[in-house]
Amino acid sequence: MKPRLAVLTAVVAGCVFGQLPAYRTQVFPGPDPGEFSVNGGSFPTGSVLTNAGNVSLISNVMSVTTSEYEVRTTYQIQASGGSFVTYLRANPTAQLGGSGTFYAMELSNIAVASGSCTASVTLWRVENGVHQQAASVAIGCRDGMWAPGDLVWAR
Amino acid sequence: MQTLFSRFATFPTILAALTTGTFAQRPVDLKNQNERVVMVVPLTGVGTYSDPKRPLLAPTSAKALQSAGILSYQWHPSDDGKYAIVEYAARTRGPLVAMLRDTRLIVAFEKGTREEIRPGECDSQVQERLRD
Repeated sequence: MKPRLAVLTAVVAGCVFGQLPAYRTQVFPGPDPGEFSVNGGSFPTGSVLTNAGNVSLISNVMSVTTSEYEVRTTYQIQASGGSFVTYLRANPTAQLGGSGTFYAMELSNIAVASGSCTASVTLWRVENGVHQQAASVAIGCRDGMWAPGDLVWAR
Repeated sequence: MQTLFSRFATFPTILAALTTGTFAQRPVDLKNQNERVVMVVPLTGVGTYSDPKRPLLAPTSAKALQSAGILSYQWHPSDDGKYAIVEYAARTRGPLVAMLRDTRLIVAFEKGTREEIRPGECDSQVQERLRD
């Protein structure tokens, strides 16, 4: 198969199956902390994002092809507790519970017990630090789940 | 010969018909599952993380949401930003009944119940109250 045809086939196949390539994939620790605005703490040095406080990492890398984008987050959920926040359309100072302008999806209230896992997802709209709770839903969860794919929103 | 054929053909035909009927059942739309109410209520909250702007009767945290027996809620603001049209969902009707009794409600509809509402009535009444 000629290279052009192979690329075209791959693109078509990707579109058909809904698997558009990500313009950015971040596995921590990142190669360049400078690509992020860090609010409320320091850039993570371990491969697992853990912090007792409230830290936000806002990517400064923009898509070169479009202003619209989707964020896919994979959660490592092995114990109860904690709060995971995915920021969207955020300015560099965005921090849930702090300042900034952004949308955020917060996974919280995680309870893991004898094989079951429950949690809550809250959608936030924050404008210049004014927090608005747009929606909240109780969900089932699992280690390795990813959002938005594993979430059922219309409950 | 014809009788023999009929005898062997009848059972598979009935089985096929029943099987088709079973698998043809469409699942209930997620938007229509559980108990649901649609309300117009005033907004509350000062806009902080612990006291966010939200519809009246909405819990302040995810933990409080589950404690109250509410599965979910979602809302849209009115044009003047003073009110919210909100849908609450719960596994049972109990938690919603207390909400429906609240005197601060402006208007409320319970989905899937009796006097509910002619088609479009909910929309028209809600829109009437949400207009500037």
